[in-house]
Amino acid sequence: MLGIKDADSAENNSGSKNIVISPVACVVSSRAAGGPKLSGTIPEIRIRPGSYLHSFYKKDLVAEEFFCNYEVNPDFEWAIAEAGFPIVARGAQGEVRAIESPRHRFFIATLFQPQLSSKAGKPHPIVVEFLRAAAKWKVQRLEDSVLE
Amino acid sequence: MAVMAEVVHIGIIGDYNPASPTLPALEKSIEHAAAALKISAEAKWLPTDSLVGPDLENKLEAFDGLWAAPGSPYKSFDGMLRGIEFARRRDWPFVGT
Repeated sequence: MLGIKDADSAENNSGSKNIVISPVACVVSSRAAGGPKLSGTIPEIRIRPGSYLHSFYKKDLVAEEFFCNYEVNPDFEWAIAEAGFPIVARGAQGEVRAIESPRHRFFIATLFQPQLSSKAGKPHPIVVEFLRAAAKWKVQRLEDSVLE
Repeated sequence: MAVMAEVVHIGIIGDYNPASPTLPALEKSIEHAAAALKISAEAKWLPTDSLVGPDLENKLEAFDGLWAAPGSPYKSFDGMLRGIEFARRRDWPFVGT
């Protein structure tokens, strides 16, 4: 995706010099005992205005559930944005929390876990829009195959 | 729209573990969203080590959307990357969490 041949995650201990995914820099102090370094509800996630993500939330600031130990190494932010994936959500310290692709019909990756805050009657907007995109794609594929 | 009444198939790329704090919630969240949209959705787990063979494209084409699940280290990091690459190259609806 980035055109970096030995791009890797620190978790894989490959010895690569291009560690795009590195351990979480800012450990959450309120996390549950034994939980990952970045876990629990993080109240201050800033959503980039004009992004698809923003059109789903219709909010500038959201709270999200996290459960992870790794994040995007800030040294590689430029490479991700340059590859066509703008950063559309950031943490309080500017950390990358979500990217999307304006060139794709639906392509979003988050560091947080939308499934953890989803409830019956109160689904998560990202999951709703993902499913809507999948339903639309199903119809479109069917129509395309009829035309062939 | 009659077509919308059909089942939307979601492939979840990941190694299911019922004890995981994040994975069982994933299927539930699809149910919640489907109910809100008034559509039927079915999710199927695709273990990362099942996505390293030559039949990868055929396998993934069967789904209308792909969700890359958390839970690293994966059984096959390569399988996870290949699944994501399929979504990116073929422009398949994709979410990674």
